[in-house]
Amino acid sequence: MLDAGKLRSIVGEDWVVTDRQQMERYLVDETYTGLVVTPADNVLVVKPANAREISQVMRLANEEGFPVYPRGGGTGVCAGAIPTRDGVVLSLERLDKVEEVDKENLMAVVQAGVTLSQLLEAVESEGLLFPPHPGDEGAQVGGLVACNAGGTRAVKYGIVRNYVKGLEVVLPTGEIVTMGGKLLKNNTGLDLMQLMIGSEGILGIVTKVILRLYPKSAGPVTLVVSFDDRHAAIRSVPKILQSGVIPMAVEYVDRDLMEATAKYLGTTWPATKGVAHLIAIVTGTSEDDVYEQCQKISEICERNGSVDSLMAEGREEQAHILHIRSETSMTYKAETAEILDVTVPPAAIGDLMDEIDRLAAEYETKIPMVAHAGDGNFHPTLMLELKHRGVVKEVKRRIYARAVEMGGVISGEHGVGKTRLGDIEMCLDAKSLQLMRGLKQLFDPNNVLSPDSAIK
Amino acid sequence: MTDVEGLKAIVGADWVITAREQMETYLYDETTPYQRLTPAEHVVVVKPGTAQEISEILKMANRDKTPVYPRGGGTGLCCGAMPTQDGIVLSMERFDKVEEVDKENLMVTAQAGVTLADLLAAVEGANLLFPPHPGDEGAQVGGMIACNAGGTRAVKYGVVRNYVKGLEVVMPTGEIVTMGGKLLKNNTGLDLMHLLIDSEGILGIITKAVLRLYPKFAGTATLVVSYDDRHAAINTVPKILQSGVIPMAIEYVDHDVITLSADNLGMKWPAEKGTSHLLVILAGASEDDVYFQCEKISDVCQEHGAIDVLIAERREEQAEILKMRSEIYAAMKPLIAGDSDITVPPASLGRMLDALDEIAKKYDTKIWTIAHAGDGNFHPYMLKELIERGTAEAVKKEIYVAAIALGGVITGEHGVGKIRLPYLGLMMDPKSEELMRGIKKVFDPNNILNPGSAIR
Repeated sequence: MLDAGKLRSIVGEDWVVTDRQQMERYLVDETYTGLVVTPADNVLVVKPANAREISQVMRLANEEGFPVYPRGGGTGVCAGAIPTRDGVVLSLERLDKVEEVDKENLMAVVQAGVTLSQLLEAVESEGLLFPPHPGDEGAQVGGLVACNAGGTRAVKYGIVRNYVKGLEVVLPTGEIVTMGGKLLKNNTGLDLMQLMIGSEGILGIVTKVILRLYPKSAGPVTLVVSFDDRHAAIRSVPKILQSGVIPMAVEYVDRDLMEATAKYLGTTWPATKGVAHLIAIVTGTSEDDVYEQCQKISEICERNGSVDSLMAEGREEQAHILHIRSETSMTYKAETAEILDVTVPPAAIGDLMDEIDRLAAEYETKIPMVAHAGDGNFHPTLMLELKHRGVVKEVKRRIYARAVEMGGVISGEHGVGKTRLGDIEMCLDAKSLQLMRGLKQLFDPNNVLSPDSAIK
Repeated sequence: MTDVEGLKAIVGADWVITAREQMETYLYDETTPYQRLTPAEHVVVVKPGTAQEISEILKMANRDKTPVYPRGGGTGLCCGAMPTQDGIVLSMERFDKVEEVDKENLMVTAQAGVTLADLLAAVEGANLLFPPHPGDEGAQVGGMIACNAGGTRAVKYGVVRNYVKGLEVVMPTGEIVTMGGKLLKNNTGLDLMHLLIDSEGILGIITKAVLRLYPKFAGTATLVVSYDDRHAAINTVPKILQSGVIPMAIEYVDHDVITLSADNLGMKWPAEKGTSHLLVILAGASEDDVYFQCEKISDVCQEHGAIDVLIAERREEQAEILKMRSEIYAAMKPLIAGDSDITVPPASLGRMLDALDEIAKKYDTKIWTIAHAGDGNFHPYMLKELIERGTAEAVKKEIYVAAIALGGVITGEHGVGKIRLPYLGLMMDPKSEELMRGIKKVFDPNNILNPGSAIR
């Protein structure tokens, strides 16, 4: 059994939760309704204040052999943060300081528990920009890094990995290690920092992060372009990217889903024509440059069959569009078995959508879709009724199989967590899995940190 | 002893060299004579034609415990490719096909032995762009990835790591593994691909790579900005980065150094005024945009003490400027004991320059320098006179210590190789080094692949 006393002596009386009723929200994340991952019965929640306390918790975990589940904002969708064995949930919520926004180096130094919304606020109030926007702003920086978050606005400068320049990490064995720094180039030895990014909390607990920032550019302007035909919309995406215009984001959405989401949020979706929409967020070096890029995008879309295009320049109007886009997963949440995260080469996305339409017809269901189209990353929603009919796994695996055939993977940004472990062999060979197990064993010889997640 | 007959049976007798006089070019890289090590006496050079052959060679090497030194273009500067123990040099020169330039996905698939020159020709032939330019165009794709090359043009979209989307790798134990693909997002398990990037040939032999490309920019321009004072030049760099215009490259060169390079090439350096120059390469979505950026950068430079700004717009003129910059090392090599590769936070460039001045004064020498200034990456040159005086080592170490004190590292892009191993302790904690050794063991249990390099 877990000894709450020893944990209290590390973090203080007030920062250990033992009462089950007070910890309910620490036992789940945003994993979809249809994927039942049950938390263990005997769980304690600890809330350390700093890396030193985390180090002591990890040493205790190794001595006594209990698992530790690090937890950020709990916005994950693959049960990565759910404690499935008796053990300790370690919440990073008290590491919540933006330590520095360094305008000279264009870097932010933030503790791991800082939320995306806090980060954006701190950065924007200094007139700077942190480009990526991985959805839920309650996500914490440590989690964004551990899960190498993607989201919209990754087209121009990439996913979170590209922004991470330095880390402070508590290793599973308790050592506190710093990696990198305020550096744009660093080739000293094997790159442990890159290994830590995307490790889903199984190789170490990220406690502090240095992130690259950008000067605010002109714009952004958000375009919503409507098409009568989904393929025409998807076909336009590579044409835009090949034209020399690189928007921050190119999103594909079904109009039905956007209208349903808007309705769910008690508002309206601004585009009323067509069945399929592209959302492009454009920034540039000057207002003229932004305007010219928007023109170019509109022209390309017209040549590829768009029926309307709408340009949002005001801050609120754009935030409204992005908000509806960000909340799509909530619309059918109660009816959702699972939202997939397949990623294929960007030019193959239209073919995969065809395939999914065929499957939807074959199984007599609807499969609403959004796609980070510029990234080839794609979120089809499988409805709960498929689960009731006992075919959800079959549909999922058929989609996965097609994606892998096209040179894709089963997760582009959400990660493996606990819910995709069963399918991981569809895109990883035996040797790679063996090496991953070897790395886990090296970093965490007693397998105390987030066991049963990310690798098998 | 190396099993020469075994090698011949794998690759064919024509592709095995045993005569010492025929292998001289395979025993060294571009490290200065003063810094370089001595190659081992009993070396066999083998030139496999396929990943399968490499796999068989590595299995044999494991059986016999023979060291294998993978070799790309031999353009490295830290003896990474030098065989320092009796064994096999495995040259990638026959992997010389650009397999596909995929205009739809904006990706190129190239075998590891393709040179940078051939890669650029293929990509530009398809009217696309591979932005980074790590100097010597004889470098090979596999080496650029294994060493995470940087060079000029890394300011806007980053170092080579950011472009690598997929790899085929022969593991030290012989398995052929593919990682990633034509994918812009991929979060399936621990990221082995990012661990392989910058592993300096100790974790696997890269045989094929998928690299991200960009559309050609509508316009580019190269600015040569002249200063009477190198500090004024260097101190302008963070101001450019903060201006909202993100150039492809911001390079610093001493006038004396760049004119030496020009003379060496029989060319003429276009700027006659000043002792120091910044080269700023700009790219934009339209001619107007590039013009706007030129104006803005000129203004920033003039506000910070520039005495002249020269704008090159013609393609050939820009190519000449880049060539004189890229081939500096060839001109300097006969004059210097060695060069350094320190990297500091960009805003500390000025303080690093102060430190170089102090060190030069203390040792009564001149420290010529060039810098990938936009990345905080300096290459100070130590003159040969320091060898005669016996102070070359002391100067190098003082430069390292000064960089580390500013939050920097001893190598930003050239890597550790075999010559920087003794200095790793200046900046790396014992736990990180222990983990690196552990990783090496997981991948290469018999330590046959490039032993004595990158980690200690």
